Order: sequence, then structure tokens, then C-alpha cells
Amino acid sequence: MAAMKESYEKQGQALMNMSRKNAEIEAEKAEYLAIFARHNLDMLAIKKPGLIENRFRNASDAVMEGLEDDTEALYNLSNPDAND
Amino acid sequence: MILRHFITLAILTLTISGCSLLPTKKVEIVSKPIQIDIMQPDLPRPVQLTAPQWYVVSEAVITNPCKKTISFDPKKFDENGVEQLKRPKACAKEDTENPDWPDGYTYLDRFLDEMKEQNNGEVVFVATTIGDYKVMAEDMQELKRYIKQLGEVVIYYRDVTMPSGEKGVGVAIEKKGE
Repeated sequence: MAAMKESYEKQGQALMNMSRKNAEIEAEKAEYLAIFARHNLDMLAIKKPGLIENRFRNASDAVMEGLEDDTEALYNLSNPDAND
Repeated sequence: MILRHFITLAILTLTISGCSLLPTKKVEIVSKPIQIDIMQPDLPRPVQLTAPQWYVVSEAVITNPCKKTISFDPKKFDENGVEQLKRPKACAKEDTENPDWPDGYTYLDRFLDEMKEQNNGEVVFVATTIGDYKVMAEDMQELKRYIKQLGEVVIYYRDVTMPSGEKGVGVAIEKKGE
């Protein structure tokens, strides 16, 4: 009985952690998308294409690197020595 | 003859029902959870991506500033002792940073020149609009969200199926302004 209780508690805790992380991930996405809502990209691209070009390039680099880091963190779960 | 049959019948009866005469042993049934060791599969190798090179062009004229030639008063030096100079407000075309640029050289002109250079004098490129760039960026964020949340589900299952004490590790959440 105690073992079952411990198992349920473990699952509950893991589920809570997952829900919290998922909420943070949703918030992170919303934060990125809010950038588009805050700026008139068409106008900025017409007036300052050089500035917007740099932003686009940097943002693309950041997204790609973020995806690489996230999938690497997952991969390292099953291969903890991968970075050694 | 009858006696022999009687004895045989008696032995047979005792043999068949003999076990019931022995004392019974109580069987105790206990429900107990058992630890099942679940083999954790290797997760897929991380993605390797290359960011595309974006060009944003319009007919805005590119600033072609004058070369830095004027000393500050008093003179300024950087950490290596090299004198810092400032730009004059106006100068001749040959004194600008890009003297080969024609007057009124725009971002569109520069882009077309660069495309010609990359494609042996031909103008060829794939274009998108600002609206479609937004759509693509939003889709990318949606895919990123899905991958990260799926990762959290993987971590959840690892956490609840790994032996006590061992724990999966989540992906980092980037928080701006921290």
C-alpha cells in the first residue's frame, strides 16, 4: 500500500512538473509572437531594411540554436556521456 | 472371496479419500506491488540545423558615411592606445566608406548586385513577403513548442518509470530579461 502511495505521489509530482514546464513553454512562445504584435514590421522593413535584416537573421539563428539545444538536452537523457 | 473384495474396496476408499483426512495448510494470499524494470530507449539524435540567410530590401537609400578622419578635441584613445577619430559631416565621394557606390544606392540595388554576383550575372532569388515571413516564424515557434512539450512528456514517462531516486532532466526554458 505504501509503495502504491509512493508511486502515485511520484506520478503526481511528475505530472505537476510537466504541466508547469508546458505552461512555461506556452508563455515563451507567446512572448516571441508578441514581438510581431508590438511592431509594424512592414513599415520598419521599408524604412530600415538593414536593421530588420539583422534582426531576422539573429532571430533565425537563435531559433535554430534553441531547437538544437533542446533536442540535445533530450538526447543527453539517454546518453549522459554524450558531451564527455 | 467376498472378504477379499471387501478389503480391496476398503483400501480403494481409503486411497481415494485419504488426503482429506490429512490436516489442511492455510494458503495466504497477499497483494504486493513489484518493481518492474522498464528499459529506457535511446532518444533520437539531436537536430542539426542551418539558419537561412535573410535579406530585407526596400528602396531606402543606404547611408554611405564619410570615413573617420577628424580628431576629437581633446584627443581620445582606445584601450590599445589607438587614437579615436570622428566622421566629418560632409565629404567628397572618394572619402566615403564605400566610394564605389553610386549616388542614391538603395538596399534593393545592393541586393540585386549581390544576387548577380552569386549567380554569374543573372538575377535569380526566392522571395517572400513580410506577412509570409511572420507566418513562417509563427509556424516555427509552434513546432518548437510542440517539440519541447513532447520532450516534457518523455521526461514525465522517464521520471515515473525509472527506479527511485533517478530523475530525468528537462529542457531549459529561456526567459528574457533574467
